[in-house]
Amino acid sequence: LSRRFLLLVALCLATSVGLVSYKLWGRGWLRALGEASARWSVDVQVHVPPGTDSSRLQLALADKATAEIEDERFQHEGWELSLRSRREQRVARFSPSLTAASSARQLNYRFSVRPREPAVEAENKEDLPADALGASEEIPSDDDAILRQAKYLTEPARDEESRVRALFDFVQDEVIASASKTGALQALRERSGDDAARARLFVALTRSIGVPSRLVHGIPLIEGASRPVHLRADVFLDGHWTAVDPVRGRFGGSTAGELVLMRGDGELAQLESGRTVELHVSTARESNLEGAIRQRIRSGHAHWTDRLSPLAFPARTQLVLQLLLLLPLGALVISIGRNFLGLPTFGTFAPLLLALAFHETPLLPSILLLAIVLVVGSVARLLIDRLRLLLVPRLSVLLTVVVSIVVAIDFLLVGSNKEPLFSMALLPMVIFTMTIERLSLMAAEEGWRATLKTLGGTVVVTVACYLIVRSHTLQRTFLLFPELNLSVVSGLLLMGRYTGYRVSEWMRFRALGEERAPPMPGLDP
Amino acid sequence: MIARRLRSLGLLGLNERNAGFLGRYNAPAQLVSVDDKVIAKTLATRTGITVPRTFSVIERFGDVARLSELLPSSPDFVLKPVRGAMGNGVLVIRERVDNDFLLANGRRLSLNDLKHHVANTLAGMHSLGGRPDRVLVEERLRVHPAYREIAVEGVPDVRIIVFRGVPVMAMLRLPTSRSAGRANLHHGAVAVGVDIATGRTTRAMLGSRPIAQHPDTGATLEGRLVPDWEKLLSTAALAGEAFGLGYLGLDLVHDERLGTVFLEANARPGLGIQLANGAGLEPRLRAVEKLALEGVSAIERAELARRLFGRADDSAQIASSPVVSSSSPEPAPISFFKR
Repeated sequence: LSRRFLLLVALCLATSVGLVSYKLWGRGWLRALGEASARWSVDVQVHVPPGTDSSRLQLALADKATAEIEDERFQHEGWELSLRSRREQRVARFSPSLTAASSARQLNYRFSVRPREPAVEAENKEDLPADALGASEEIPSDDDAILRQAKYLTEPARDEESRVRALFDFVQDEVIASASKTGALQALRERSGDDAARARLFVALTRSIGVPSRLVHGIPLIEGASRPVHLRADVFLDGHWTAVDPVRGRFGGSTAGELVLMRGDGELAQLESGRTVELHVSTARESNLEGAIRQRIRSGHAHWTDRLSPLAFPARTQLVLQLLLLLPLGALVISIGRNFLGLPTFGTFAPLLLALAFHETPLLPSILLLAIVLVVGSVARLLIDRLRLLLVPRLSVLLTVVVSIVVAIDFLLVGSNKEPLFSMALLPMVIFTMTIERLSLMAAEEGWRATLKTLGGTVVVTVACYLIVRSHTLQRTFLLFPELNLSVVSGLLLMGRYTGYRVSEWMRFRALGEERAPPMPGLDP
Repeated sequence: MIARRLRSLGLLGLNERNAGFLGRYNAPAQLVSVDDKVIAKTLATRTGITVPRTFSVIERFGDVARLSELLPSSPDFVLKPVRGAMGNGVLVIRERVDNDFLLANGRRLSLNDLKHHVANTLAGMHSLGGRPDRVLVEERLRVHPAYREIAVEGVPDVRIIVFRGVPVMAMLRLPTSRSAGRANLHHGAVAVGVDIATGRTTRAMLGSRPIAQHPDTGATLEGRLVPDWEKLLSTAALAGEAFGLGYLGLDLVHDERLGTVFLEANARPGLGIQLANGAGLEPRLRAVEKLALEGVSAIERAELARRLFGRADDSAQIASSPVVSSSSPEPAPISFFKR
């Protein structure tokens, strides 16, 4: 290693470490990082399927009674925000803009929230709003079947709480969770229903025995990607509201750490035409540091070190940047796998691209999906091979098969009402296709042992890359300190000059190493 | 621990091979002269080395339809991707039966199968980096009688690592039924170390496991004499300067009729040869790096190799060698010696 080379490595490392240290200690970032923030940023995504004509959309806004809501923003492409009413339940109304009438429309409602300690205040039963006991189409508490069932269930119980508990036990244990969208009545008939139907059934049953109850639309405040809003119930017992969740099996207890979006029988988001729309919420803990930096950039008082971190971009861009900034680290892992460990892989950077494709999916489903695609794809390739197609058209047919597999899996998941498992847009179909092609070629030319070895190497490197790009800590660290990539570069430079053995070579030449030391260079056994 | 042990054996690793030798002695612009088998054959012929006869080179997709006209009249021949690697995509046709073609490994292909293979090869299925390719149709070599009982389904070849025109290590590669007649180690061929001084086989490896007998025929592998060794070694030394590359793996074959034949050259030869010989490449390469080789003929370089790397010798002889300059100059990278 020449002195100039080492100097370059040291320069990269020093610049990176220097900048990070200056930010941490010189600019007080370390202190700000240590301050745990109680704020969460919430992103409510409303997706309106295409073909819903010109219906207006009504969206319930977060409940200000139990949380401190700030910085509410809407992103409503294809919509016009027409009215925000301020009553007990705040709502926003949107009308579709004429230009985007027929296509699918996306609407985002973002805000920053600090949950308050929920106050347990006693109320008079007489002061409750009328609909806490009323019947409606969604909550058919006056339906005969409901009344009969509730009466049958609560007959042995003596006090009000044990009656409610009997209803709770019934919905929790005897109405099975299923994926099909049903109403409360159907859930009762079939003894199965989705989460919303079970929650509604419980509310209807309690109201039918004269106990006030209401639906609560909320979401737990934990780090999490997009997920549907959860429905539970509030039951009025002993002069105050008790949280009861027959879906998750919770009766009473604290509601701290829960963000309430709406209380009441209706839907969180509803089209004028009556159709309900898909709604997902993602939540992330806000940091004092990021907030402060953003504040400084917004107010024009940013220090130059603030501008090094791409924090001023919109959230969506930032999500992409978080991944991009981690790519060099993934590439370092790839070169360590190649040049130090000597793991064979299909394609040099394919493991990193696969890891990116799966970064939103948990590990086991990812491996399962990869296995399905590879197995089905390889079988398909064997069949396609019989057609004697030219190379590029054959690969294209294989690509089509791969796309079909992925779409089919997606359909199955959507059909069963599960959340999408992977970010479709990022799925590298071409990488899948080429991996299948290389795998099949290798199996034909070099046999299954070599192929499985290479496949194993690919999986190991992919999982390593996956753990990196999926790590929230790393994402945040590299977003705050993009200069860390200079350290990664110095690692890459050193890796590039590594001329020692690869670990795989220890294995390969072990037989040689175990022999007694022969004279060099010629030898005599 | 094990790394130090391998280091003391002088074992060359892939990283060291790439950074220390390929990167310094093989200019990228020159790689085409071995990666392209048609160019390689031309260059070898120009130096006076025998190569298998070329029947035709299929270059266009249009030729696939009239493939039967382009195939030679002889019953046996070989189809090779011009820019293939590691023996992938090579078809050895032993004879014609009716309208079909019988491969050396017993598989039977129709003319349509053959057309499909040629079309795939042209599209780059077997070429380095998947680039569009050509197909070389050449004479099929015949197993030399000396190898009859240790070669199965195919022709054995001698792989010689030649560095700056000096042969440094050699091995005999024997096809097995598992390798389907191919002489490539990762396909399952047997690697037999060969003493550079005498051409006598030393020990044999199948994968990373030492073996004493050929897995198919049971014939003893040690102590055999590679025929015509002197000629083979000087051919290697000669071929070592034909391509303008410093670090090469040459594949030479003894053909029943043609004698020593150049099959192909490899600019990134594998390291399994060290296992077969039970010796590391690095000390030998470092020794050659110190030699002043200007104006040294191929015959002299082959002779030098026999003296330096033969079993009976040791490195002490390097110093007393007449062609070694006392003050070893920095090795000239890329242009490994001037002619």
